[in-house]
Amino acid sequence: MELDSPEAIDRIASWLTSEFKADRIEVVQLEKLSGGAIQENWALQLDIKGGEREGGLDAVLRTDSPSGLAVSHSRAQEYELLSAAFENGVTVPEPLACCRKLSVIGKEFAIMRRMPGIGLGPKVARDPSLGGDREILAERLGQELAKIHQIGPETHQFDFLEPANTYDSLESFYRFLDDLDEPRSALEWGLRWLELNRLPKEKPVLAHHDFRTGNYMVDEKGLTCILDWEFAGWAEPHEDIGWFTAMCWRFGNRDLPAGGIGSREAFYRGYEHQSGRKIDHRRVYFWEIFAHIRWAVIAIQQGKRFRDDNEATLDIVLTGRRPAEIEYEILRMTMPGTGLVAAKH
Amino acid sequence: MKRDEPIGEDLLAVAADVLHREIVPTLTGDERLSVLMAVNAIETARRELENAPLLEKMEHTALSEIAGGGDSRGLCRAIRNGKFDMGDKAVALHGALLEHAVLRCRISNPKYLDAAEKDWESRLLL
Repeated sequence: MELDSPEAIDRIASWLTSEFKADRIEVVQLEKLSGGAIQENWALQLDIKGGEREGGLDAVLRTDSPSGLAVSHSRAQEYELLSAAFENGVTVPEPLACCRKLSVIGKEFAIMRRMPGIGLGPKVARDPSLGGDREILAERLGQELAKIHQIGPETHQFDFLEPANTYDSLESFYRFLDDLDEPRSALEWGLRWLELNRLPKEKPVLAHHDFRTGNYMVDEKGLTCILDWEFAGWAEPHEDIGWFTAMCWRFGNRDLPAGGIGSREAFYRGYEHQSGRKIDHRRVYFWEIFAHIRWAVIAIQQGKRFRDDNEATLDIVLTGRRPAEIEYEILRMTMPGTGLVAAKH
Repeated sequence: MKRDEPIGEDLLAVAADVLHREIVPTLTGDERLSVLMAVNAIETARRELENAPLLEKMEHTALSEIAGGGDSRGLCRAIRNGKFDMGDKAVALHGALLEHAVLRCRISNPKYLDAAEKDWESRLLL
């Protein structure tokens, strides 16, 4: 059923009434905020009568897109991860409820508190009036990432995650490359170079796996929340750090390594202070190269989608052409006869 | 046989130019972004047509001279199996791959390439 049909709205209100132990709930507004290939976010404004949550509530309802590509975690699994992050003090939208029953709207959905701010990557990178002082923001983001990394397999169990001791990022990338079924010599070169320069594995932590500019929101004062937990999983902490500082995620601000918005020093300071550990600069270099390989594979997969129904958009076809610049950076970073260096630029 | 004129590259160049100079300034918001992206796509296609012979020549040279014949899949297998890890072979292959990537970038995103080459050149001088 259409999410904003009277029937669906009724069912959601009904389900939430019992979830929140209220007397009655009125859906003041249900409006689509954004939608991707995998999930949709709807603004959900509620007026709650009775119970602990009595009053107005500005929330977001998150559910699957109609196409429902199962390439990331389910909404319920994502909710579990979000809840763990929230409990650990990470700045995320407060998780409020999660419906695992398909009987309400035909698919799982999660409700979280609506947070203010702008999340669009290019906009945040380009507009210095957003996010307050950028160095303070960079430091804060480092601190937040360190808090995420404080969640570990010793204290948390997520039965849907690939086990911490078996997951290997390089190995899975050889699989992804094979699945692409097209020869990519630059990516093969990059993966081989990484293989030759592997370091002993770090203890796995909960990695966000898409921690970058574009996946956090800011208002004019600073950070409002970190988003998109659909790819989180057990991995080495430096993998997340390298994804954040990778050149391909700086939105053209080549001299601002912290997500295209700030300095490495500020970002590292926030991370090191919160975690009590020093960042290994050579490991960051390793994972920045990996980040480029990963993003190239994703861009190639995106590009192939243009032949599917309703997917021939300019966004998709232009994303499909990004690998040239990404592979360029990989090749520049992996000169023959060189090894890992401290990530500096 | 002689190609019909104006050739494809020129059609695309004129189309992109007209859209950019005459249409984009009249638009705002999402529509403006869409047309800018469309111009981007048209210009990329034009550069691709212009450079197609050179790209093919590069790939052919890399495969026959550096990879010792065979096809791209063979080259990928060889890289994965460590055949190009060290020595002159590594230097030659990396050089060819980089040169190829530079041309592909010039086609897909020349602005990116200009900024990137400047950046890398200054780093290598330090």
